[in-house]
Parts: sequence; structure tokens; C-alpha cells
Amino acid sequence: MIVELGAFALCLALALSGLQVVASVAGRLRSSPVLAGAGEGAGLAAFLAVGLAFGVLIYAFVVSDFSVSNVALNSHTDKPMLYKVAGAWGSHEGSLVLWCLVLTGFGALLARARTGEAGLPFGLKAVAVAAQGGLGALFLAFVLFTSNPFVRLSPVPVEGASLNPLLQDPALALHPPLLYGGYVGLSVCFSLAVAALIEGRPGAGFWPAWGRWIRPWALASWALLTAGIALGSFWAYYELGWGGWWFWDPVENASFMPWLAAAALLHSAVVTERRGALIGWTVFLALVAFSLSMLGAFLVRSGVLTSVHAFAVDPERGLMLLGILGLTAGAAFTLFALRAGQLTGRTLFAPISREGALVVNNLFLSVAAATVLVGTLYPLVLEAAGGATISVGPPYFAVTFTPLMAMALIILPMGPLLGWKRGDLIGALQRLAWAAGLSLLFALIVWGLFRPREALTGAGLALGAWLVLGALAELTERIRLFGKRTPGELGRRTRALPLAAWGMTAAHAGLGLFVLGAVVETGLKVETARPLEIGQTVAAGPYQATLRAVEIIEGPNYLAESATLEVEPLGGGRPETVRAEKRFFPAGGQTTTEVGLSFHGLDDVYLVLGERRLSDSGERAWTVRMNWNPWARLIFLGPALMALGGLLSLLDRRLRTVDTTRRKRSPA
Amino acid sequence: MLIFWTLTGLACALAGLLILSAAGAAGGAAASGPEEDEAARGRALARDLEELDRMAARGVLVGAELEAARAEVARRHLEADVAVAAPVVDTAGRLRQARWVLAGTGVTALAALALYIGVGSPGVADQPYARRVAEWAETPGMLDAPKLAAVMEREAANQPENFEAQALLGAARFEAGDPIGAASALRRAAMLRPDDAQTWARLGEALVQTQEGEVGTDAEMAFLRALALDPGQLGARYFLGELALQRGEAARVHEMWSPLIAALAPTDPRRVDLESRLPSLSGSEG
Amino acid sequence: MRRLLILAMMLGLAGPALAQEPPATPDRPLANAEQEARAQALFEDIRCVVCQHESIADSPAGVASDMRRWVRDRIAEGQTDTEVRDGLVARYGDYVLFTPPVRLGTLLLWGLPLVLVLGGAGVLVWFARRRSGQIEPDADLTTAERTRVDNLLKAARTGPEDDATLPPKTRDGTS
Repeated sequence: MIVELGAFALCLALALSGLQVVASVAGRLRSSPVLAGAGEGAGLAAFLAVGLAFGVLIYAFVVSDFSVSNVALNSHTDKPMLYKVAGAWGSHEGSLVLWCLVLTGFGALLARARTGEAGLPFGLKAVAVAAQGGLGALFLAFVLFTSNPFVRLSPVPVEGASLNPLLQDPALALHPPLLYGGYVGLSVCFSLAVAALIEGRPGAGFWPAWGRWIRPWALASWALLTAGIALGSFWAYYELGWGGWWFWDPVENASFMPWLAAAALLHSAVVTERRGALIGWTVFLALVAFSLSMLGAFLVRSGVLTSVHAFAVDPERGLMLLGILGLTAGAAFTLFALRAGQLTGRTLFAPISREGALVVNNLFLSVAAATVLVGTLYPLVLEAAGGATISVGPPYFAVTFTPLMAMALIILPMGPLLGWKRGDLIGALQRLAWAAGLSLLFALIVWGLFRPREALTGAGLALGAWLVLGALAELTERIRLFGKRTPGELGRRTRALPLAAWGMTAAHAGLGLFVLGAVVETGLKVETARPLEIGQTVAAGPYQATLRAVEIIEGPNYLAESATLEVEPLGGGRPETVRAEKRFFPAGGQTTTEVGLSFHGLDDVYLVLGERRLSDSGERAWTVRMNWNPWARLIFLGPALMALGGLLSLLDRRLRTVDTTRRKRSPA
Repeated sequence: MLIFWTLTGLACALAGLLILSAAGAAGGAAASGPEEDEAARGRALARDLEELDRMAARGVLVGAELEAARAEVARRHLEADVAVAAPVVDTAGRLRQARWVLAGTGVTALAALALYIGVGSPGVADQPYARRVAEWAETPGMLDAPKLAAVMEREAANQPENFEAQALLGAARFEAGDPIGAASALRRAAMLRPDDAQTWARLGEALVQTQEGEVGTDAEMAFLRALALDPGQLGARYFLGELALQRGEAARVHEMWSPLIAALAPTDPRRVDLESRLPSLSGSEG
Repeated sequence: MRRLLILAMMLGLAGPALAQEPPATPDRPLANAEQEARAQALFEDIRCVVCQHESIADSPAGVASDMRRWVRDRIAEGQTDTEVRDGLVARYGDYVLFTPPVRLGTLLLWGLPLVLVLGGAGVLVWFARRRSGQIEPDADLTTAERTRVDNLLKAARTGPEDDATLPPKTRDGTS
């Protein structure tokens, strides 16, 4: 009965989303706050209904109700509780319910957004709520008609088929909610852009205000995407056991494209807000960002990535997703084309200015996003067109994407130091001179210490340091650290800095840390693999590991061969004990690796237990792969700092639009 | 069933309440005229100018920069053509619209019901695993192996120190085609009662199953334990004989299989098979 | 077969029988360090033909192991990197390399990023040129504008009562 209640709640949510569209449109057309209010209420109710359905789905997983097909296919009674719960969004159907939950959740937040003088105008909000409701209705219909998670089974199987053990990991249990938060948060930017295209006025006041309205949504989405992608990358790093953290896999690209677009949108929205310029471009990016999110969902969820043929075998889901994408993006971009002529701002700026720097940043970010898009879709299109099958992998992105981003990063620290409208490039460069000098010095020192294999590593080091120091330089400029200042005045200036400024500094410095980590890890990592008998030692970089013992252990739902290794610096030092495991899950018949990670400052010592065989001397031996990944910690700390920066900016009072203390006004 | 429809009705009613209250709040709040619009814009302007003043007071904005910022802010507000406040509706209009909202909510509930009848499975009960196992436990005689294993699993989990429970669980899992699980349970049983020959023999058999018929070292150890405790463990004899046959130890094969052959009826096809495979004791043939 | 071996391994059954049939042929690095480095670099660019999106450097699959051995053998025979790549493409098609080929069908793939960035830059330069000279600092408010600002501010003070969302007045004298 509870399960069926979930199914009903999903149906109710779809109907409510429909009402949300109709009431909001009617409210706008009849200029009726009552009808528009009903639309907002319906949006809120739809969110609660999807929440109920999602809760019921989790309940079905927790109690292992195998009469629910989705549970039977993706759960097993021997799974630990965390993965029973996470199994609710580990499957195709469940993940789409999560998508709808986030979509309607953002819709509910939008419905609660402030109206009136400090908030959204009546008409704009009504249309945006209607657009958001339309998106919700489309995706809920997709869930109900092609991916209903509440389909029942008869006869009921005795046991479930279990969740892919690779997904039974704490990081991956949290990864989809974060990622979907980011993907779907962009839907609000999309809806607000559609609403602005319909409601927009040529007056100079409208568009800067609009830029301010979409910024919190873009910021929140971008921060969630950053955290989600970093978490997914960290999972790949320690769960797959390949030693890498980014593979330019189409699934990764699917989440990276919206991230790039959201980053571009964030920056261009600033220009629109502050200067009333780049209006058309910002609107365009808002539409593109969510379209790329939907494209990502299509790529990952339709099976088209495995092969075009796999897609053709069961095309129903894929075609419907493609239909949703075509319908929403098609309608939005047609609207954009019709209104594009009216979207030019009147504000002018010199090429050398804050706006100019942000425009160049946008150029590189958006071309980078386009490059990832082309690299991801090209093999699919070529194959579908009957051409040859090709692979687009890391070497392609190394020569296309990397130079584009490097260009964007070189100019990044200058932007914040240039004035609006007309900037003083020489002055900015003078103020950055110490940062530039220190970056080069830093690169030279690290180069001299470690002697990397490729010259590009040196350039990357300088670039990363330039970003971190540039962010700090901008901060010191803001509080005027240099000059004759009393400590009290410095403190006052520091406190007076808006949160958004701290956020920007944190995000830019985080990006720099990430670049440093990525460059050093890629350029200097050392990998060794050799068969070890008990007591034998393998070395990589400045560390060595000794195999102490291997035992068979029984986990909650797996058997594991568990190796105990002792890691110590080559020069001598305190040894640290690390476990590396190879787990076998009988329920699905799959094995996974659990990497042994030993942290040394910013370095990782990464140990993978491999196959067992007899050594030449006839003893039992295990192939152990050992990686020394210098500064690998920065690859994940950097994005964490970036996401934190996004959060800080989001908390800035000036960006608050959601009304938490709804005003009470007496009716006139 | 009645409870289910009551709950769905309740869900619809709650949604309707939410919609109506939101509509009511919006209708009540939106009561501003053009002069209020003007006032609102003025207040927004005043607020932005105050923000500039504060920045000036902190020394962030000075001189011409401050004046330029003031001019820009003022101009932006002058040109603002944003429909700030919601339109006004009189009370009668609000009531008429409220009726539309009510009707819309009703239609929504009906649509949800129709959808549910279409895609849902009305009347199908929940089947939480624990309850199904409890039901199976009522009629242990009528269960097939996987269900029996599920029932035994619950018993064994409740009594981890009970040898019978573990041994039965092992047997049930073995029957259900889960030799890994069977081996795990039988190993626990063997720990609880190390002198039980039958358990060791079964553990050996389960281990052989996990290797798809190969007699590995662990299985061999288990069979040897079983035979040491009870020479009459015929299953253990069979597998140890197979192993000896593979290794070409003819005398060992005879030692293992002779009592086995003796125990089987002369017409038993298994006896015929074993006899035909017995190696000659000269040791020249394997 | 693979499943059986995993099971055997997992249950701690270290049969000597297993040693005769190792799960995947162990990688034997080339004795010449320079050649081995070349082989390792090539592995990164070669796709495991049975995997989703893995290079043979990463993949644990048996096929990947065979491909690694094939590459090492070719290098040991003295083939150049290009010859090894060509040999692989001849055997498996373009699909096997992560670097897509440059030919008519992939012109768009390779060319688009450059075209976009140059085109975008061109448009920006064009805009900048057309508008240069038009940029002036914000003029001070005209008298008419000043009057309208004062009217707005007056409306704010005399208009319907304020609501709670306004921040408290914190003007500190400067105006």
C-alpha cells in the first residue's frame, strides 16, 4: 500500500505540474495574482508530492520490497543499509526521480522567490514559474511513461539482483545528489531566461536587475556541479584503481560541459548586472547551460554512449529524452532568435576593461565547452552517419581544450584588477608584477628540485602559482594591504569586504591550486608494478611499501583479499600501515578494487592489489601497483575551495532573492 | 484498500490546501497601485544610494568614482520600466478567480487519479522482505530451497551460536545453488562444533561447488577432517578419490573408493561408473 | 573461466593447478628502459577494444594485456611509434587510437575549436573597433534627471508605508 501511495504521489506531481503551468500562464494573461499564486502553490505541492514518492522509493529499498521491479533489479538483502538507501538513486529510474525531485525543489524555491520591489516582477515570475512547471511536467511524464520506478512484479523474486558493487561507495552515494543539484539548478536560469525573453523590457533597468536575479541560481548550480564533479573524480581515482582521476570519458564530459557553461554564465551575468551589457549573450548562455544539462542526461541515460547500436535496440527512452531536449531547447532558442534584436545593451566599454576581460574569459570558456561538446558527440554522429568509428580521447583534448583554458587562466588574474568601462592595463600589470615574479621563481625552484619530464610542466607550475598569487594580489588590493595603514584600518577594511569578494578570491585561488595539483601529478607521478611475496618491497618516487600480510576477510556482502602494506619514506621515517583490497561480490559476481591510500603532506602513495600468482621461486606473490602521486591532494582540495567560494558568494546579502520571512501586508 | 484511497484523498486535499492558501496570500498581498509602484522604485533607489554612501564612508569609493557611480545608479532607476508590483484585483474578481483555482485543483486530482489507474497497480500490497520471510517460516514444509535458505538465514542471524541453525543454513543455501554462502555458513558451523564429520564433509562439497567441480586445497583439508572423524563419510571418500585419480595415486584411489563401492547396491549406476574408473594397481595407468 | 578463478582466489584456494593457468599473462616490461618508456606512452593512446572508454594502460581486461604485449613485441622488433600505431589501426580500425585521425571526415572535429576561437576573437575586435571613440565616462546627471530623481525619492518618503524588508536607516551623514 505504501508503495502504491508513492506511485500515486508521482502521478499527482505530474498533474500538479500541469496545473502549475496552466494557472501561472492564466495568472499572467489575466494579470491575476490569485491565479499566479495558485501556480506557485501548485509548484510547491508538486515538490512535496515528488518528495513523498522519493521517500516511498527509499522505503521500498530499505525494506527490500522485491515486488517493486526497480528494487528487485538494483538491491539485495545482504547490502549494507547505506547502499540500500543510495540504491534508490543508483538505478536509471531512481536517478530520474531524484532529477525530478531537484527540479521541482528548485521550482518550489523559485515559487518562494521574493516579488515586488526588491524581487522579481509579477509577470516575469509568473512566466518563469510556468516554464519551470513545464520542465517538471515533461520530466515527470518521462519518468511515469518510460521509467516508472514503481512497476510491480509478479511473481515476486526471492532475492534481488543487487547494485553494481562499483557504485557501493560512500562518495558515489553522495555524488548524484550533488551533481543533479547542479545540473537541474540551471533549469531556473533557463526558466528565468525564457521569462525574460517574453517579459523583457528595453529599459535599461530591467536587464541589470535580471542579471542579479539569475546570479544566485547560476552560482548555486555551479558550486554544486563543482563539488559533484570533484567527488565523482575522487571516486574514479580511488575506486577504479587505475591511478587516474580524469579520463575524458563521455560520461565525465557530459557533466563538464554544463560546468563550463555555468562558469561562463556566472561571469557574463556579472557584466549584465553591473553594466547592463552582454544581455543577449547572458540570456543565450542561460539557455545553453541547461540545454547542455539535458544533453548530458540524454547521453548518460539513453545508452547512446555504449554504442549507437545499443541505443537503436531500445530507443524508447532515448528518443523521448531527445524529444524533451528538442522541444524545450528548440522552443527557447527560437524565442531567443525572435527577440535577439532587442537584447543589445546600450552600455559601451573599452576593450581594456573589466568587461573586456570578462568577455575574453567567456570567449575561451564557451569555445572550450564547444570543444568538449564536439569531442563527445563527433564519434556518435560520425558512426550514426555511417562513417567510420573513431575514438576521441585525452590526446585530442590535450591539444584543443588545454591551450584554450590556459589562455583563459593567463588573463584571469588581470580581470578583477581592471576598472569597469575603461581599465588601466599597465597599472593592473604593475600591481601584479610581484605575483608574476614570484610565480616564475616558484616554477623555477620546483623545476630545479624535481626535474620533470616535460617542459610544459614548468609552464603549468607558473600558471597555477600565477592564479593563486593573482587571487591574493587582488585581495590585498581590495584591503589596500600595501601602503601606510594602521592595523585597525586594515581590520576594518577586511571586515568590510563583501562575502562575494571573499568567494571570488577563494574560487580563483582554488582553481590555481587545482592547476598546480593536476600539473604536478601528471608531470611527476611515478608508477611501479611488480609481484611481491610477503616481506618484499616495492618503491615509487621517494617512498617504498612492504607487503606484510594478505588475508581473506568476509565483508557484509563481499569476500575480500586484503593486503596489509607498510609505507615509509625512502630516507627513513615513521612507517604507516595501509590496507589495499580486492573485493568479490557474490550477488553480482563482480570484483572491485579498494585502493590503499597513504597521505604524505600533499602527496598520495597509491597502492593497488593485483592478481595473485606464483613467483619464480615458487612462493605465493601478489602483483602490487604503487603510484607516487605528488600533490594529488590539491586536485581535490582545489575544487573544494572553488565550491566553498561559490557558497560564500551565495551567502552574500546582495544576492538573496528567496524570501524566507514572507512579508505580511494588510490588504488595501 | 480503504486506507489507501483515504490517504490518496488526503494527499490531494493537502495539495489543494497549499494551492488555495498560496493563491489567497498572493491575492491579499498584491494590493498596490501606480503610486505605490513609484514609491517602491523610489525606495529601491534610496537603498542603492545608501549603499553607495556606506561604501564612500568606508573609503571604498571616492571622488569622481563616487559621483560616476551615483549617476549610473540614479539613471538605472530612472529608466527602470519594471512592472514591480502585481496588478490590482478587486474582491469580487478575487472570489471569481478563487473559484477557478478550486476547479483547477479538482481537475488536477481527477487527472492524477486517471494517471494512476493507467500506470499504477491499484490494490497490490507491499511485500517487505522481513514479512515474506516470516510468512515462509509458517509453512517450512512447502518451501523451495531459496525460500528455505532465506528463512534459515533469519534463524541463523538470530542465533549465531547455534550449531544446528548454521548447519541447516549451509545445507539450505547449498540446495538453493549458493555454494559461497553455504561454505560461509558451514565454516561457522564447523567452528562451533569442530568434531562433526558431516559438517566438514558438507563444507568440502560446498567448496568444490564454488570451484565448479575442482577439489582445491581447502576442500581437501575439509574432506580429510571429515574422514579422520568418521571413516564412513562416503561423500568425502568420493571426492578424495577423484583427487587421487587426478594425481595418479592409484593405491589411494582404491583406499578411498573400495568402501564406497561396497556400500553401493550392485545395480547402482554410480557403482558401475566408479568400478569402471578404478585404476589398475600396477600404477602404469592413470 | 574468469569467474572461476576469482572465486578460487577469493576463497583462498591456492592450488598449484592455478599457477599453471595464470589469469592474465603477466606484463613483462621490456629490458631496454627507453623502449619501455615509449611503450608506456603508447599504451595511454591505445583504446582497449572491449572496454567502455579505457586505455590499455588502465584496463585489467585480458585483451588489453594481449595488446600491451603486442605493442611491446613490435617495439622490441625495432618498429617506430608511427609503425606501431599504423599496425594497430590496420588490425582494429581508427577506433583503437584515442587520437582521432586527421582526414576529411574529421576536419570539423579538429578545426572547429580554432575556427570558433578565431571567429569569436574577430567578432570582438570588430565590435571594439566600431565602438572605440564612443566611450565616455558617465556624464553627471542633467538637471532634468536630477529633478526626476528627487521626485522618486520624495515618492518613496510619502508613499504607502514601508515594509520590513527595508534595511534600517543607517545613513551616516555623508551624502
